[in-house]
Amino acid sequence: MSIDDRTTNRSYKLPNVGNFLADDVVRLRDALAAIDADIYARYTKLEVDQLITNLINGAPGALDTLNELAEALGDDANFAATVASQLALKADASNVYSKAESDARYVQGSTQAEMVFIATANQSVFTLTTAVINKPSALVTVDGVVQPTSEYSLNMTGTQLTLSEGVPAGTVVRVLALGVASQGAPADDTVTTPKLRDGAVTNEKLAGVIAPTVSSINGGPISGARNRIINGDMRIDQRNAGAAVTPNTGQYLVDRWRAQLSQASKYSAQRNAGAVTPPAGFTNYLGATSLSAYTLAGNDQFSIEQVIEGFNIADLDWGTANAKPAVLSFWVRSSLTGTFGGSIATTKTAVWVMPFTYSIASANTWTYVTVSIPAATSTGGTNNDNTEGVYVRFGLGSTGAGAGGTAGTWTSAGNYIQPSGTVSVVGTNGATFYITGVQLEAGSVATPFERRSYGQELALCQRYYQATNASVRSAATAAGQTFANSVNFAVHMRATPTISLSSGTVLNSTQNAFSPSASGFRHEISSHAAGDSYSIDRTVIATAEL
Amino acid sequence: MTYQLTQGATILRIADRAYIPPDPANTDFQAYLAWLEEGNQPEPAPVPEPTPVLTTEQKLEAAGLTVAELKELFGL
Repeated sequence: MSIDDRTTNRSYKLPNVGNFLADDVVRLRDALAAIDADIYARYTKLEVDQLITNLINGAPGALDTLNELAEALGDDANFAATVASQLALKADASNVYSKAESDARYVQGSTQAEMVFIATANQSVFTLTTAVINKPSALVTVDGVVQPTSEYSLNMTGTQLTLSEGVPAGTVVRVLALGVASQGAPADDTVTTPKLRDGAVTNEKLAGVIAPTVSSINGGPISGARNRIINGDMRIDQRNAGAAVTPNTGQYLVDRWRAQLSQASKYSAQRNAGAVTPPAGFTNYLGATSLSAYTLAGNDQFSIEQVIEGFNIADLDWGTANAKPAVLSFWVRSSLTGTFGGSIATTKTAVWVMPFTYSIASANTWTYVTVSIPAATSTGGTNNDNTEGVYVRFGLGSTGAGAGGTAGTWTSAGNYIQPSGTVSVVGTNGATFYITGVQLEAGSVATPFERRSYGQELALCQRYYQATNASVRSAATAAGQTFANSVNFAVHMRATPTISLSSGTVLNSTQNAFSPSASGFRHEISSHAAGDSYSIDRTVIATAEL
Repeated sequence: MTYQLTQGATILRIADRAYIPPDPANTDFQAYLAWLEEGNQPEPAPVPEPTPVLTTEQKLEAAGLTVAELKELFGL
């Protein structure tokens, strides 16, 4: 018997009265299994509701259906392309000012105004009620579309705007004056370097605008003689010509730089000692080398110093309410590291000292040092004549009365060479201390080392020390006759110098005592007998050091 | 350090034969004054050698003349 194989519309197998019961049972089981599988595969109402909720995801009621979204997009199937094409018309961010830049570019509080015009037919020229100095100072729209600056121009007074072409009648032209720049000089410290583009300020623009009335540079002279130190680069060495010396106290090492020491033979000194390469821009330095591992004791003090003449430093007005600050700068190198010391001192009415410290972090490496010297308003001041003005000292080791004070503070408590605890160069056998580029200048900022010609520097040194050639010769007719020549110094000296002779030849005569002045001397001999009498090829050393 | 007076205004520093002017701004002169204040005294100035009195013959010799030449010059 065949089975009635009919099914429902969804292909569920149906029983049939003509079928065997067993067959229908199977068919019903299959139908129930199929129905169960279908039901299992479908969402429940709760699940469907949740899916819809998730889809809406909190969107506002006005935009929670596809139709509402479509209407919001203008029913534009090409909305993305439309928006992209509109964005392409906008200026790139790199070509416009940010708000911060605009705030910086335009003067706050300056005039801002909005001017709206309804154009007549083909109108292109519009008269502005608020002047706009330049195009970047205005925003121009035509029917709401921002116009690039190439689409309009301004007249010289900024009161007339002309569009590149006429616009139809009824077109809305809006001009927004953003706040005009150049409303007077900017406030101090508001014009920073980033605001000055390269080449933005030319000499031509400055000409006639700024009268260069500068009262000083860094509080000091505008030009020339900024450096109160003479022979700061150690070029001039008239006495030793580069030879090493083991100095006595007060002995000069190179011109204007002398040794001060309480114990002999603890260090030697020489221009370019050790033959190391000087700092860039320099050809010489003064070097001191320790000759032993000396332990400081008592009131020991070792230093290299220069005394600045009062005439050359009095303008700093130290010791008065008008005292100016100063700054000391130099290049230094040592085989030792640590905190080194020195001092600035004046001696007009009493000894006033400003000790200072500086650090050398790397051994045998040139280090540039600047030392600020606060205005010495309440010190004893400096002499204002040809006597001692200011002492500049670099300590090589001091203790007892020679060490003390607070770095950077003027004191009259003691004549300190360097602060306590600073490096003792003489304490290490073979230790080196090299220095050059020494500059003392008015102001609070160290400027580059002042370059002077060799001739200028030599002349400055000759005010204190110079060697002059002198000769006198004559045929005496008898003993006791006197012959003399006048010799002028190359440079007028600081004071009447001490005179000594270092070489030459004398025949049949006696060198008489000199009668020097600050400008020269009389070279005089007395004959011993009749005949050729002379004192020739004499090198006369004139010394008027401080 | 010792000093010696001279026939002029300067003071001779004997150690290095340096002539020191009496200028208060000269540091060597300042050192000399300090040396004096310590109670020291400079050596006196050297007495200049007296100018010798020349004989007639010595004067003629200095002039490069002999007695005979002088007589001949005056026709004696």
